[in-house]
Amino acid sequence: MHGSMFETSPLLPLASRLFEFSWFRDSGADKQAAQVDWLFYAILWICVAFFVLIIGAMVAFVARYYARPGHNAEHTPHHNNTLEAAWSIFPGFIVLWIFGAGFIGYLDLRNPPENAYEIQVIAKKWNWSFVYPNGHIDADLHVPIDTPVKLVMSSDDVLHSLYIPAFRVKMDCVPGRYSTLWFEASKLAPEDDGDDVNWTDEGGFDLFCTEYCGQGHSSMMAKVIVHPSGTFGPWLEKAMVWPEDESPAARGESLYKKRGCSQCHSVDGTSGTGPSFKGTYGTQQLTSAGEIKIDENYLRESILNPMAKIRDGYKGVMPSYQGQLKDNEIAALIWFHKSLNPENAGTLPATWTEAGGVPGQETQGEATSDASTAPVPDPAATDAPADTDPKA
Amino acid sequence: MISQSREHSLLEAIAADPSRKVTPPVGPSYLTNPPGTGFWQGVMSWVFTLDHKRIGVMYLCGIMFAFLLGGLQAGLVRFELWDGTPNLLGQTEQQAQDAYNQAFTLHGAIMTFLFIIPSIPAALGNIFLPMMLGAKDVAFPRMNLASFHLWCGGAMFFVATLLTTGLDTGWTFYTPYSTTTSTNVILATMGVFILGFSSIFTGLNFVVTVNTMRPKGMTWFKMPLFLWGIYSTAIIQVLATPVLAITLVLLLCERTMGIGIFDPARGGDPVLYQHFFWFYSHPAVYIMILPAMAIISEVIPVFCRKHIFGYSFIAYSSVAIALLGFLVWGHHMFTSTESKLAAVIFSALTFSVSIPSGIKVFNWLTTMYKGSIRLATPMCYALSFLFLFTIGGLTGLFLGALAVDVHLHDTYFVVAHFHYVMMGGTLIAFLAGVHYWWPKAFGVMYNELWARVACLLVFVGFNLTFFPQFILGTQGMPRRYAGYKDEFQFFHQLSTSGFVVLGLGLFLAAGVLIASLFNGRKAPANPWGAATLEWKCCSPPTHHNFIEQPWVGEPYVYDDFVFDPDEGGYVEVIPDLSRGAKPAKQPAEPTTV
Amino acid sequence: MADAATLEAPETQPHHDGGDHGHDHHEHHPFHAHHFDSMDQQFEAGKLGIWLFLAQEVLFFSGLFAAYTVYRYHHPEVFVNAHTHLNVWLGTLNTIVLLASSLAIAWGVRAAMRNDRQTILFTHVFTLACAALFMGVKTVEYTHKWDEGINVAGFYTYDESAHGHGTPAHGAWHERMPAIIATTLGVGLLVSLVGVWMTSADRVVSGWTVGSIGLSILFIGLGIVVAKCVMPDARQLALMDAAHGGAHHAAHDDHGTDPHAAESHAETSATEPAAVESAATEPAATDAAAAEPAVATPPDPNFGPANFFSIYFIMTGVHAVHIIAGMIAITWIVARTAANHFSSDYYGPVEYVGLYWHLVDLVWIYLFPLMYLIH
Repeated sequence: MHGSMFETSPLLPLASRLFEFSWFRDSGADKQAAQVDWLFYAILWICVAFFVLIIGAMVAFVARYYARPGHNAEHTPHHNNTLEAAWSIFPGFIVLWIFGAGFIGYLDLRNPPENAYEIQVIAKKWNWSFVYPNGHIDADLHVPIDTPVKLVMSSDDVLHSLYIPAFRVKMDCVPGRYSTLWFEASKLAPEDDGDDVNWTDEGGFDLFCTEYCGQGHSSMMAKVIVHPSGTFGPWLEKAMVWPEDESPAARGESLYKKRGCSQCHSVDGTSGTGPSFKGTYGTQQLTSAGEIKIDENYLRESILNPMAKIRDGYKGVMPSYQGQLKDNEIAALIWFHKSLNPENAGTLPATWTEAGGVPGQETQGEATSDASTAPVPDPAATDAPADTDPKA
Repeated sequence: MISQSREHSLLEAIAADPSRKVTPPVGPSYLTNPPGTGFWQGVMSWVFTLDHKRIGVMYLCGIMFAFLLGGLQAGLVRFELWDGTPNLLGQTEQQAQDAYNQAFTLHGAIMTFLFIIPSIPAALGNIFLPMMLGAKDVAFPRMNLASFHLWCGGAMFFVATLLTTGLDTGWTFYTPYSTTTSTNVILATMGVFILGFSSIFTGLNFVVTVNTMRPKGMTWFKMPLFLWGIYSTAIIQVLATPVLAITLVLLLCERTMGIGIFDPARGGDPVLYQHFFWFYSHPAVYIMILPAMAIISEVIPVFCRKHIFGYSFIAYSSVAIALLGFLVWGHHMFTSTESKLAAVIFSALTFSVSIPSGIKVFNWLTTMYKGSIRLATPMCYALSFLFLFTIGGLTGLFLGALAVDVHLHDTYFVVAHFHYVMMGGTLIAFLAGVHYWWPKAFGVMYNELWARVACLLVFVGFNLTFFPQFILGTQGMPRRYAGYKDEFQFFHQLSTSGFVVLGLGLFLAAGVLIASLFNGRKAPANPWGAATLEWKCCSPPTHHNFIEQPWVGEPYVYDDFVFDPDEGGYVEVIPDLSRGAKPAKQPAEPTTV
Repeated sequence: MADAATLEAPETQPHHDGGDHGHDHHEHHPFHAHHFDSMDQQFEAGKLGIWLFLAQEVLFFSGLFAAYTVYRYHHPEVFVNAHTHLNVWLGTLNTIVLLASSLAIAWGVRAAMRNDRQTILFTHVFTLACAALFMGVKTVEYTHKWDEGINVAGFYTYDESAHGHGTPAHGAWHERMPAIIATTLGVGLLVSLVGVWMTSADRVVSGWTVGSIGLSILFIGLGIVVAKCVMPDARQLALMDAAHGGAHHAAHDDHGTDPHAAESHAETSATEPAAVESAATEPAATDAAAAEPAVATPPDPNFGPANFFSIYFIMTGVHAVHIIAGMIAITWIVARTAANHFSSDYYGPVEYVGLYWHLVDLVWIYLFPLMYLIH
């Protein structure tokens, strides 16, 4: 990926690549996917048959009837209605069958079962937030195996589209309305062993954004991590609780990478769409609201209400993270930001305990009550346009 | 029945009685001005010409410029995709991503609006439609000129977009991205709006010309199939383009005033924009492909020396495609939260379009059966078209099938599919047409050998560029990505390598044609032995096309044409003139089979 | 007019409606384009051309009607409530004016076929006056709404509580209106008189052209005056308010469409970080924000009266642009008629412009009930 053009020349692995070639990357990862693959191959063979017929005839005619001395065109009838009807009607039946098969498969893809496990999806430039029923928000999609999962999706800014190639599913995320998508994972991603409750987020199936959404479109990826039976519940519970002995800055760094901050804000001093985080904490900076000091309040406000004070030299394009980052996450991000200015080196806590505990997580009870009020928008109750079909 | 002896007897006949040989009278070329014309007078005689052929030639130059511009953007896209990290077009990853987004947007917008849509109808159609019809000009020459001037205006808006902050919305201008991005959406949409009216004017002119200006004897079913194709196209241009125009007006208002029609932040519906946009842009696909099919319907019979098979089916299938084309726009939105019912209806209608396309392919093949196939450059391109369009058309079946489309939508499979149809179809047919009519339009013959080498390079390069993209798409590579995962690298590199070959082929083709202008052998009036009317005037034609109104004969009967070495081209031999059965200025009777 | 006789004079050749034209071998008509075989062919080509152009226009408007239909279907209550801001009497007046103009122009086409040059002139000038009257009335309707703060969604500042229903506006446009009326009437009258003078001074073509322009300006002023008279005054409005104020209020209840209000809100919260902090940490606030993901300056994401008026302004605005284009075309016909170009042999342009004008009229016939008469 980072190699020069010549290190990754296609010539060496050409032969092996062509022999290993397969149309799909992951097979059998979803119950519906097999049906889609089957139809794909059925159409493929129909196409191959027609292609061989047409191009075969073309090549044969050229070989047989090419212009040469002594050879002349023969008169044949100028039209033949029976023949015309035959090649209109016969392919007609074939495409009718393809249509029917595609239609049936499509209904299966669009109609989730009643008992599907529901996960809310919020798409924004340029990251995904997956909101679980208990209030946990994750940048990757964790799902239990062999369980129908229904995603209820919306967008905060422009059009996005959630695409999981391994499950053969895709649906746009449209601002102002809710769309749904469902699948049932039936195997783990190839690299995953699936034993780890403290998921390390390595491996997993790809999840892409497939509706063009601007600069970071091609980085708007996530992972789908399939949990083996019995491990999803414990993972979800554990994901809500942060270990007290973990470093706040390290947690912040992981959030910085996973929740989309890194798309626009660098940590090496180069300025991207937004200002770099490096070495700015505690400094005075010019903003649209005058000179301010970059401190906890400014950072918190900039996360929740980014348009309030825009740093000079930057356009106000950041979306708000109101309701999508919890207090402890904002705190972790601020710690991480702090750690990027060497002047603060001495003041950084090594663990949450040193920092006075994980914000909002003093007792297990409080965490749960937070979760119950956590953001799970009910599509049926909100003012969704009529053509969405949240009940389907 | 043509036989060796027939050819001999025709040659003997004209040797015996040269007056039986029809050679069009030669007049001053439309390309040159009378001697003594000043430089600026000469320039003005082009810029404000009302001659459809000169307008067509100016269109040809214009769209080639646009093609070069769009092709350079394609190069930026392909080379950025050599490896998976966006690093070629900018210092930082973000800059590279921004530059990449602009490159593919401008590639799409320029190729669609400035190149493909006007390519065959406005350039080749303008030069040849009135001539094939036997008319002196199009119905409204001033409107025709206005169409070209509007095209130039639109092109300037695009160039201005390119020189200012660029455009990064994708050629589809989807809201709400297009209402919020900081790039120059306003200039670009105004450009497209103007180009829309350019296209409407061309289409309107052609419909009226074909309807009202057919000379005596030119009945609907004696029209060459090229005219049927252009006529169907023109209907779409007139009826679909205004919907795009109003959509862009609404988009401009949305961006400048915030009218809340398409912008969800103000209560609008972004999916409505997609409906409006595709209501034009799907029929626009047929604006692109119908004229291409029409060219192929001309080239194949001429180079097989055989009457086209199933004339009326080909003619009606053009009209059928044009009409059905209006009903299938929703298939671009199968995953855009469209209702299930709508998706099913649009899927069914989409499949119905495949039937008339199939009919055409089978008819072309049957025309080749028992012909005498001469692999001249236009025919090479036509065979190349058959190959590529068959792939493009068949892969449409995957995308029409709902369940499979969900997986393939917005992946490289779609990119490959529409390049096979738009480029493998329209561009290749355009090249076939340019090579076919070049001797007529410019009065010179090009180098056959090198032109065929270019054709082969284009064919190989095209397949190498775009076939791997089918595989990428099926494997899940989304389109419009500036970077990608390592797994996709191999096929991306194949594709970029193909681009180099394709580019070489296209430059070679252009070079061969341009060289012919300087050192090409003078073209005979009818170098290929075609029977349509444009070959019955001199090469290049005069200002009013025909010095004598030609006979309107059967467009696809080649029995009376014979290669005359004296002329260096084909001549028509008037049969049985000695018997006085065929007075001049009457339509030649079709030869019975 | 005094010069009517002189206008008739240049008619050199008697023309007949009969079937004797259509042969290109008699004398060459001055407006016969070289590439047509005959005048008949030329006329047919032009007629097909204008019909195709009209088809194109219908599809152009169809996009707007489609948008209207979609939103009306999804939000019928918004349309019913918001349309009460439109004055039915002004709409009716404009409908009558346009119908009259359509009748006149059809009469004019008939006159062209009968070589009746003077009737062509008068009917077309009458049509022009109607069109100008229409624009005058539209001017009053638009400016009144702008004064109220009713505009396309992006500039919609109408505030129910501040205005109360139907309070006659005293905004900037209202104050400017007397000056506008005086200018249009004065300039219009002056230019018309210049036109009449030029016509009598044997400069017939420019005279009729200038006169047409003057008359258009004059009638815009007259249209404004008439519309101002038809507009209900404060007392009548109060009565109307009592009649259906309740329904109207429902349309405007507690929406925050005022961008200024939203902006000022954002500003105040920006200057008080503490407030933001406390608000954000309150569970209730987080909760509400999560249910409806917040945007920096929250415009109203719901379809409301602002959107209705977007559709209203765009549709009537695009229609008005077509009226202006029609006025230019009609002036062109008046000039060419004055130059004595038309006869029963050659009246294509008169008919084409007439057809175009009927279409513009027809679009209004649809717009009027769809906008003004919703129930």
